[in-house]
Parts: sequence; C-alpha cells; structure tokens
Amino acid sequence: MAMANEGSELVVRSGTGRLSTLTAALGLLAVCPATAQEPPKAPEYRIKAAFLYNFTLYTDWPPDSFPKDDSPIVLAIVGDDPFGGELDKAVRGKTVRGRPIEVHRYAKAGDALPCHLLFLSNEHARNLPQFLDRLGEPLPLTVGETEDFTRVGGAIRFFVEGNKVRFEVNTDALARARVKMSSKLLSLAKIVRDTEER
Amino acid sequence: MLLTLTFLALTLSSAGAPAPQDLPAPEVQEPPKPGDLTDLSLEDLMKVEITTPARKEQKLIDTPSAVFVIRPDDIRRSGARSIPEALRMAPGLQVAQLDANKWAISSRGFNGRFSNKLLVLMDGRSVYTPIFSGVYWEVQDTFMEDIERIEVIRGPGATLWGANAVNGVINIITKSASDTQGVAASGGVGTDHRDFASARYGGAFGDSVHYRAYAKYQDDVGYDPNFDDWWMTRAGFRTDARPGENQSITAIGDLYDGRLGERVSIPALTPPFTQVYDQHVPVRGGNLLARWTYKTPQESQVTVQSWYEAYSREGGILNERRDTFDVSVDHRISPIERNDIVWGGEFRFTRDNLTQSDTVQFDPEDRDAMIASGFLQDEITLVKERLRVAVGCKFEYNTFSRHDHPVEVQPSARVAWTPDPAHAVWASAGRAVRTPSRGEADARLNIAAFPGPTEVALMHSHDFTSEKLTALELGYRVQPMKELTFDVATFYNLYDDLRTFEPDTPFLETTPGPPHVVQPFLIANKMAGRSYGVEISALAQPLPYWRMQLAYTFLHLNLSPDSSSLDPAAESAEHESPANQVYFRSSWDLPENFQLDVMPRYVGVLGAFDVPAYVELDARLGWRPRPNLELSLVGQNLIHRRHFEFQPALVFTEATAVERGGFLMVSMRF
Repeated sequence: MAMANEGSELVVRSGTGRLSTLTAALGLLAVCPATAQEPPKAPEYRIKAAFLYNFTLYTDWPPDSFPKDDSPIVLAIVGDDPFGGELDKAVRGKTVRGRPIEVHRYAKAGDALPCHLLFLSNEHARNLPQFLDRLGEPLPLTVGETEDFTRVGGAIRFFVEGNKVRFEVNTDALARARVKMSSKLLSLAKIVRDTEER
Repeated sequence: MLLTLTFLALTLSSAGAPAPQDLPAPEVQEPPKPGDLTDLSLEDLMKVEITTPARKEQKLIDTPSAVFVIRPDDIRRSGARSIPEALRMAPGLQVAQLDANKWAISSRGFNGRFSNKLLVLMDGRSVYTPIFSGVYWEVQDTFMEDIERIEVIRGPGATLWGANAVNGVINIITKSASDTQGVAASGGVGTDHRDFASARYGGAFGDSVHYRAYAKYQDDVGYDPNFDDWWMTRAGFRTDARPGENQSITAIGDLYDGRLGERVSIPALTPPFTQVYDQHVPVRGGNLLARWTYKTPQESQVTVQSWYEAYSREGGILNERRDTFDVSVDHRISPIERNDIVWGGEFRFTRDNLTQSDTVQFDPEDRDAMIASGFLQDEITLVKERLRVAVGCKFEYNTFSRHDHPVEVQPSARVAWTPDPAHAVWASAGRAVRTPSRGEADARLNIAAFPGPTEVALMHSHDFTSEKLTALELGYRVQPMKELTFDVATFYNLYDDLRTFEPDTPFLETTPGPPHVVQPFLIANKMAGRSYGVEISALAQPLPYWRMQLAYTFLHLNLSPDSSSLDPAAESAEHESPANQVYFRSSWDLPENFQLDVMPRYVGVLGAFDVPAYVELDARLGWRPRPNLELSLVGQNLIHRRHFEFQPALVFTEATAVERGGFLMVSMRF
C-alpha cells in the first residue's frame, strides 16, 4: 500500500519516552528483529544528502551543460528544503572531476536557473509535468520523493524500505536529460520506465 | 526484458563519451566517523538505517485505537494560532470557546471548562491541574511551527497513562531540536488576535548536540470590548543530545506570564445577591523536563524522565500556587519472540498553596498529594503482520482516591487484525477511572444566593470515590486507493459512580455576615450512564493539488441517576455536548505558490446552554513568494458576526460571543 509520501496522514512517528511507551503499547512500533550487529544509522536526510552527492559522482552530464571546464555542478532545491543543511554539509569542499558542487535554492521550479540536479519538495513535485515543460533545455536530473514521481517524468525517486533509503530511476527521464549514469549506480536502483511511451 | 534493452541502448549510445562507470569511484576503507556519510561507498550507504528514534515510522492503519494525528501542515494551513484552535479538526473531540481566553475541550462528551476525563500531555508532561482534574488551555502553548504532531487518542488510555485518561489522551509533541535549526519568525496583526509575534533560533554544538530557543508574545483584544482581552508572553528551549550511538538526552523548558481578562459573577448575601466584576487574572508558570533514553543492542529500551512545574494563578476567588515534581521510568523489552513488553512506573508529588475567598474555601488550604503507579503491557503478535493482541494493566495509588480502596486497577485488552495492508479492524475493551480532584475532596463552592438570605453551596465529601468507565471500542480503517482513506471508530461506554450533588440538611451560618441559611449539596457518586458514538475521519486527494479532510462525530449520552439521587441537574451533561459535529477542510495548491484552504464546520445544539446549532467557516489564503517567506490571510468564524459556543458552569465567568475575525501573518525562515 502506498502510504509513504502523500499518504503520510496515515503515518505516525513514534516518539521517545512516555510517547514511545504509548506508541509501542498501541502497537505502533514494528517488531524489530534483534540483530547481533547494529547496522550503521543516520538521520534520513543525511543519508539522502549523501546519496545526492553520490549521484554527482556517478553521473555524466552533457558537456554543453558546463560553460567552462571548472564550472560547478549545480544542485537546486525547489520549495521546502527537507535537508536542513545536510546537503550543504555533504558537498562542502568537495569536487567531482575538478568541478566544485554548489547548492542553490528556489521558491518554485520556474525560478530554477540552469542546474544539473533539481530536488523537488513534495509540494512542487505534484506539478512536475508542468514544471518539466517550463524548464528549458538542458533538462536537469530531477530528484523527488512523491509516490508517482518517476511515473510522471521525474528521473530519480527516493523511497524508504525496511528503514533504509532506496531509490528508483526512470531511464527514459535520464535519456531526456541527456545524462549518463554509471551501471554501478543503476545496479543499485530500481529501474522504471515512463508509464507511456512518448 | 524491456528494461534491460533500454538500459543497453542507453549504455551503447554513450559509447563515444567516456563511460561513466570508468569514473574514479570514491575510495572507502574505514568506517566513517559518525555524521559524515559521503565517504561511504554506495553499497555501504544502502545499508545505513534511518534512525532518529523519534522518526520510526509505522503505519497508523494498524493502530488498535481511535487515533487522529494533526501534523504541522494541518496546523499551518488551518490558520490555527493556538492548540485549541487546531483541535477543532479532530474527530471525536468537543471544542468550544467560552470567551476569548477560555476553552472547553473534551473527548466523547462531558464537556466543560472544567471537563475532567481527558489527559493532555505536552512533550510527555501532564498538564492537567489537580484542582479540578482539567486543563487551563489558555496557558498551554508553544512556538506553533515547532510542533511535530498532535496525537488525539479517543477512548480510555488508562492502562498506560493513568487516571485522567478516561475518554481520551491528547499528546502534543514538539520537533527535535535537530529538526528546528536556524531562525524562524512569524508575526501578524488581526481583529481578535490583535498583534502577535514569535521567533525561534536553533543551533548546534558539533554533530550530536542541538538546541533551540523561542519567544512568543500575543495580545488579544477579546470579543467583548470590556473584559475578555488578554495577553501572554512566553519563552522556552529544547536541547537534544546524542552522547552515544544508543542514547539520547532531551531537556525542555518553558516560562510564561500573562493576564487573562474575564467577567465574574459570584453569589452575594445582600441584594441583588450577585456581585459582578471584571478582572485580569495574572497567570505565570514554568516547567523543566529532562529525559534520557537508552537503547540496548537487543532492542530493549529504557527511558527515564523527570519534570518539575510551578505555576500560580491569582483568580481572586481562588488564588492557586502549585509545584509538581514527577519522575517516571519505562522499559520496553522483547524477552520472548513475538512478545513486546512495556512496563514502568511513575511517581508524582504535588504541593499546592491556596488562598480562598467567600466563594471558594478549601480545607485544608495547603495540601501535598501524590500519585504512584505501575503498569505492564504485553503486545503479542499472533500472526505476523496480520493479528496482534495487547493486554495490560495499570495500578495507581492516588492521595484523593477513597481510603478504603486506595489503589485503582485499570486493565485493557486490544486486538488488531490486518487482513491485508489496506484494511484493518481493531477492537478494545478497557476500564478507566477518573480519580477525585483536590476540589472534590476538599472544597466548598458557593454557587448562588437568594433572598432570605439563602446560599447554595457545593460541598466536598470524603465518601466521594472515583468515577468508573468500562469501554468497548470497535474500529475499521480502509485505504481503497492511495488517494482515499477512511477511518471509522465506534464505542460503547458504560459509566458508573458518576458525580452528582445531593441536597443535604440546611444549616445556619453567621460568618460571613449577614447570618444566612446554607443549602448544601454534597458531592456523591449516585449516577450511572452509558454513551455510544461514531467517529468518522476521511482523507481524499482527488487531484494532485486538491486535498480534502472530513471529520464527523456522533455522540449519544444517556445518564441514569440512582433512585436515591435528588440532584436536580444530574442529567444536564446529556445536553452539554453536541450530538452531531462535522468538520471539513478543502485544501488547494494554486499556481504561483498560492494555497487556499476553506474549513466549514457544523456543531449541533447544546440544549443545556440554549446554544443553537451553528455552521461556521474559517478560511486561509497563503502565498509563498520565496521558499523561506510566507504570507497568510486568515478569516475565522466568517459566517456569523457573533455566535455563542458554550456557557460556563460551576464558576461563573461570563461567556462572550465568538466574533467574526481575521488576521494577516508573515512567516520567515533563515
């Protein structure tokens, strides 16, 4: 059942202390199998920020999307920024193939100046098809979290499975953005296509 | 197959350019220091779990109780500037405004300003006052944008929460300090909310300690030009630290100071036998809470929490000063497969200092009271992901429980059946008690005077015992498609030993003069009752930019005083809560970052107060020209110029009519 994003009306976040007592008692907490070794853990958007950084490592943008050899790779966030500084921290001081990484923020997709990777908050992802039409060439690599993000033309969608961050890649959208993604990255992704051939 | 082909085509088409897989991959050897994940290989990154313990998401659909969750977006889009305003959207609650600064809120009936069957917690701190076992809503507040969620749980929560959780629990939970970094500020001007402003700053010491501090101010002109204006200032902080992988420490504190305007009418022994005056009640208080959570590698979790609260309220007829200290320990453990056990204990000490008047007298004036309790609950998974049962019991000692049975026993059993992920059926049976308040145990309250002079007084009694509830609940949730959710909760409640006031032998009293006859009404437990109801919550999203929420509440309460009861007003509570209530919200995301929300509500007639049924409407137009700047224009109670929602009982502060109003607000974040 699809309740991850928009359906989050149906999701309760269990708290700490007395609150977790309640939620546990009400059966809100999953029965976690005890594991011998604790898996590494981190806040959700720190993990997602690290993924975005990795996407820049494993993606080749068309050369004409960079004015100069040392032009930055531009990551843009449209709408609410759920990363709360994690993305800036993740890319600070890093270069990818000699290019620094910059993070820009925009109120709406129409404002987003040419960029390489465009993260759309849920609010804006809902209107993705219209935004894609409005965005000029070259299209950025779009990243979102809404349920149907990749089905309506988005390139990468984050989702959570078993308490871990996973991502889905629409290869048709990659082609439209004229980016090449390494097979290593694609092998870890769930691959989808546009719902309809265009 | 098709996917593979596409992928091949994609790879082949890139043959000319340097193949991306040839790019130098980041090298990773050591486990990274906590906080930096960018050194991890992709494979390792895939293994990282999402962890803030406050973020463990579970589906509400499986919850075996009647729960409604109000989220930040609901609060923002509803235009609610206070917690009571936000609670109007929850099914199963009765929410009414008495005057600009007083609210009557309850769950499943028995509503009143001093309604006493609802437990309210702010970040784990119980906020009901033992004076009447109810909540002074006007002093419960925080920086609204920092609220993570409000859980509204109807039905008895006594097994885990103790003796006030008879008909419901409201949990107000603020965000972790790590989620509220940076500056946020909002302020506005309006008709009733004349001017208000609040700001918060969140920062961090390193990766593991986050903090925030806020300050808030509001000045309301009130609905009546003469007396129900009020103002409040408050400030507070929250710190969340993670000293190690498995533990977290939270500290939260608030201070507030305000003046609440009201018109009081009290009985007088000389003509016209009522004295009416306006006053501004000074209220101030503060609280401090600390919580430590430790999680062992075996998934067992211990939480130790302690809080202290002090407040004062100079109501004139009753001045109250109270200090409360509370400590609790919870332990969650899964000792055998399929069993999740939660057990714990709590101790609370409260000391009050009351200054009385001719209208209210407490004997004794100062009193210490304590609550000590322990609980155990086991949740058993009978069929994995399909069938779960939870059984538990709470034992509680309360100073105000009657001496011959000082320990209240409150068991419950719940079952949840999830035949498939889109359907859930749940049922519960439980017993809860509402222990006597300090007022019921020790107070005399003069409520009326007549020529004679004769005075009518409500008197405490040491024979007064706890009110009892046996509750049966049945609920169903279904999500037929992603865009549509239905939640239906039904209940059948059997009450016993409900409070009545029984006339006793009149006596003569000489002080205060003039000499007068007192007609006492002694507090007693001479009433039973039953209630049933249906609460429906529906969410729909027919279009990506259009969402709707519907809450419908039906309640029927039938009270049966014992044949020996002579209380003339015993059954009035039958008509103090509406039989039918509807709340609807339609939320549109418009172009150019505009948002429009329209929220009509219907509240049925309150026969006990001559308050007719009414339809009211709130609306909000929001515009976000930049991601960190938002303007909101909110209209409240737009249909009628003025309407009454409730009337007071016991202590006669005059009700005022809620007026049509609105405000303009600016919110910013940096």
